[in-house]
Amino acid sequence: MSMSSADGQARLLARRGPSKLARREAIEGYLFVLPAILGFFIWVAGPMVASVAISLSRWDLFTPPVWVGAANYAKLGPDPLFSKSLVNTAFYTFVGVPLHLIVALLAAMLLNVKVYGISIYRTAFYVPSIVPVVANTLLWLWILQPEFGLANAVIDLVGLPRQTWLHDPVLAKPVFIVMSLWSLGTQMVIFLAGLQGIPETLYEAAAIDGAGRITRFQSVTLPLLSPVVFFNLVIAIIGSFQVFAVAFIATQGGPNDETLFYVLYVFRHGFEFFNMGYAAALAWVLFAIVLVFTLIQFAMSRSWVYYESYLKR
Amino acid sequence: MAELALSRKEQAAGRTGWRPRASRLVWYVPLTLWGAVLLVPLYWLIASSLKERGQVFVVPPIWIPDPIVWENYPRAFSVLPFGMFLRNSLTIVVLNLIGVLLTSSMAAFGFSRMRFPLRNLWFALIISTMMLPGVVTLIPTFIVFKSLNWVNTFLPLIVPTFFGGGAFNIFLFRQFFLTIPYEMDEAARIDGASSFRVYWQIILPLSGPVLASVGIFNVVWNWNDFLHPLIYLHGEERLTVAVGLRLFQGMYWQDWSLMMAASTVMLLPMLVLFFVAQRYFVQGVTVTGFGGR
Amino acid sequence: MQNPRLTNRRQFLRTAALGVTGTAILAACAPAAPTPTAVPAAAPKEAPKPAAPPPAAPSPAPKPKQVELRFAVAYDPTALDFVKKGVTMVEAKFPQLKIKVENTPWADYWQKLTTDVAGGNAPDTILMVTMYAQEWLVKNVLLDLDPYIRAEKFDIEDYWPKMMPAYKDKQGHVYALPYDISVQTFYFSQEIFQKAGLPAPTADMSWDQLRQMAPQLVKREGDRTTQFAYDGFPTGWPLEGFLWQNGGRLLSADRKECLINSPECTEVVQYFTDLRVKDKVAPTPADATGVDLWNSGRLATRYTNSSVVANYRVDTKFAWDVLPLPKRAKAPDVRSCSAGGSYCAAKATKFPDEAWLFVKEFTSKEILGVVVGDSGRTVPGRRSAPTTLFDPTKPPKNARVLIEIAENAQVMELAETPYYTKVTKAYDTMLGEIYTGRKPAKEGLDEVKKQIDPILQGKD
Repeated sequence: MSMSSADGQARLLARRGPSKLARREAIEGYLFVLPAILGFFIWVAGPMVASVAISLSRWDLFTPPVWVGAANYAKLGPDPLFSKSLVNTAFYTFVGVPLHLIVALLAAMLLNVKVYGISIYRTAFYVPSIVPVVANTLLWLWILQPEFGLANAVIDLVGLPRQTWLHDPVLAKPVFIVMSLWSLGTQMVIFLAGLQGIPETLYEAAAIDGAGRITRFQSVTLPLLSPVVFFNLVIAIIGSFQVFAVAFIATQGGPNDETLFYVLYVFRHGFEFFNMGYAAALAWVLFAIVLVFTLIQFAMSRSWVYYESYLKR
Repeated sequence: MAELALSRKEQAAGRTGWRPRASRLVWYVPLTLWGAVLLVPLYWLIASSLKERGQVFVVPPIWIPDPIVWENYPRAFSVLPFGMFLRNSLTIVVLNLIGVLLTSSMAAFGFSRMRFPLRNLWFALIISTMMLPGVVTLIPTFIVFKSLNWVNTFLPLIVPTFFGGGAFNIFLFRQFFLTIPYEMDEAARIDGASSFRVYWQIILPLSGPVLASVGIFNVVWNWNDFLHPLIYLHGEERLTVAVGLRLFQGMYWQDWSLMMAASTVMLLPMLVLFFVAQRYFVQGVTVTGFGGR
Repeated sequence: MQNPRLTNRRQFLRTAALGVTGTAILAACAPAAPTPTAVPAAAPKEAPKPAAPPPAAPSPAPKPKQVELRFAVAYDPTALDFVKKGVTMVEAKFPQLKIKVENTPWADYWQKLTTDVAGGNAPDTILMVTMYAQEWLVKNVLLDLDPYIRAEKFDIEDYWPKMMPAYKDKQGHVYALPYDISVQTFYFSQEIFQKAGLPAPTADMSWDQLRQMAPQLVKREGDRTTQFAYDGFPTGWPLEGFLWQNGGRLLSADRKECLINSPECTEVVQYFTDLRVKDKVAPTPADATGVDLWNSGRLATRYTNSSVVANYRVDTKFAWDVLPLPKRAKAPDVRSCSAGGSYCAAKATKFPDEAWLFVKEFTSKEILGVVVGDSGRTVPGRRSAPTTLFDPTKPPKNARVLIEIAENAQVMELAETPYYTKVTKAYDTMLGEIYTGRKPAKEGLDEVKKQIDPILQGKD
């Protein structure tokens, strides 16, 4: 909590006046937050409750919904595409996210060295991240075009056998992960900000104690950066579980459903087959999974995230 | 070239000027190599958009278009109503911008500077929606909009923003407001200012940086959004650039220079925004942890 | 200013995690409504009055009230121009009709139609195709045209009769009138055959003969193939025609069982797989992605829809021609199955009489001659409608074979069930796997059958 806000809280408390004023303030306060509270009920809580009901029924939007109880959830088990899309998404997330974080951290550390013109390099590293996802995907489709694309031209230069990239069931998912590494700017910048928040004096002290580069990284950089890493991790995993646009545009889930990611499958049932009930059930399962992973991360974070900030005195 | 300076501390350091040591020069090698690898695709995007047909399908690829032809750009605007896509995207972006800046700052003001019962509970509930995978509400909200007969209008992409403008934006505004000294409100209230005047005439004018950050990210997000227009907008005349670009893919998937030109057109406004408002971009990223996607 | 950011973030995450758990519990504990909250689509309108067919007189004495009909279509810009021309002609002839053409790109058309219809916002008249007609029919979306046909003694014999089963319900009532018919056609580059020193193929050619000569039509440069002998791997609506050629069927007689794993069908699938995987004379999906092999002169032969004739007339810069598909010994007369487009009226329309009038007029001989015939896209839906397909100044010289194929081409049986989307989705991925050699044909088709049978039995 920063000084000024703590200060403000104190003042707020001190301002406690006659109850009439308090009531007026309460009414005004509610008016200010009313759109947001309404929004919470209309766009989140309400739909979530409705979604439970929808997931317990069969509904194609044309004929009236039919109550089927847990039938949609019972169908999940035998549905091979449900498990396949889940596995695909898990692969993309649990291979992609850590890789993404490591590479972004490396980039941030590289961009944190004090050399002349570093800001130009920072711009260069960040710019790919502002390419809109549709444009980004089309560009990569062209780069990965098997015959005339850049990727195989590079492969030719190196003298390796040409690849079919997104047409190869084994390569398709890893290629998506590599594509995502191109736009690592966001996390890189967050790490960079975190790195710059570490006071030089700590490194100097460590150096005086005789710590080498690696020791300094382990005992100064990592602990002090851990809250940022944790934040990036939580947000990246939630985002990664919901990967959609790239696969929808580039592969439509193929080859052999190897890039059929979970949300793509939800979309298929919801907006191609109009199986609203099954789609809602699928969405709930994803929600449960994401929730569990988020909670696990919070539980695990106690053992590795270093919060007792040196500045928190 | 614009600067990507991150903190005042570093800017100050830059001004006083440290002298590069020779040992540091070695860093230029990985920096330049990695930077080049990242910029090659971007170069390829633009180079391909300037090629004539005969230079596209060549092995090994031609690096520098010769001659440089611009015709792919006017072609992108003539084969599909790309101008209309741009206008539609702009409409959605601008209306969302108004909605988010207005209602999320209002909510943040309420949560940071007003006292009312259950305040913290409401705040926690609203903030919690950030952790919610959007897919969960996708189906039911679609059904709501469908029964309102709003599918195939811009309303599903605009109206929700006017209800709080998103939890994270509220959170951001609140964090910022907490740093504004309360003496300002006190003084104004003693002069008889209403809460709304405090919000409108004291707090908002001091909130330039957070307005800019939230605004920019909202613009970027809406410009890029693919899933929602895909679900709610159908028919050529209503598409945004993002979903319109996919139409190019469906119809001209063998015409790469055309598609690269159209992609560049989509990228350009974001690029301009980035270079014009880079400071707020970076501020936004560092504070929010969310980029343009 | 650095540290508040970190603590803020942590504070944010904690609050968020707590809240999200709370919300989830809240939602889970919420009393589940016995039925979902939203309302079903609008109740179907009452059946149309079969009486009062509108006057066909070009200049009716008392000017009837003008009615605006929404007309949902999915055409590319060129085809759309011809459609608009036809619309103008109909409007001129019938002043009571005002047609609002609503064009949606094909990729988006069915989703838009679904949301429009489900949202109670159905267009009055609708472009339909053989593949999906039954699906819309069972959803109760289409207007029964039979009362009008009977009342007016309207002659439907001129429409290609073999297409009509796709547009009829179980009682034989007609719900749509066809505007075109597409068949699978064999295209070949005369130039490549000449250069290879081979005689041009004829209508008598068999698939086996094609396979024998294929290696001579291939060119390679290092590990790149720069010219392929053949492209075309049957899936989707064309598939059935290829199975019939070998005496196979996709569906059993009662249409409750899928026969795709029969020896006849497996043999067909294996043949095409061999062309690609064993003989390497046909492009893989990777070879054919994002490049136009045909128009860049890198493909000797291919099969595809008869409708691309119009495009090839513009884009193809070498000598080419068309033939019926090659033959197979088991059923030498079967060349292709057929599919096509049609127009229908929505049951929900406020103006059923006018909608019928428009559907009828827009598929008249005169209008089809313009909308389909002049565009040269494929064979018009009426046998009598004139077409520029046979324009002797333009390729292909053999265009007349298209009519012969159309005459004999049955519509696929799958189009007579309401399961086209689900069944094709179920076999598309697997056929892709088989055709690329990643899955043995027999094994893959056995799996497909297991998935399709429950769909056909209405269990899925």
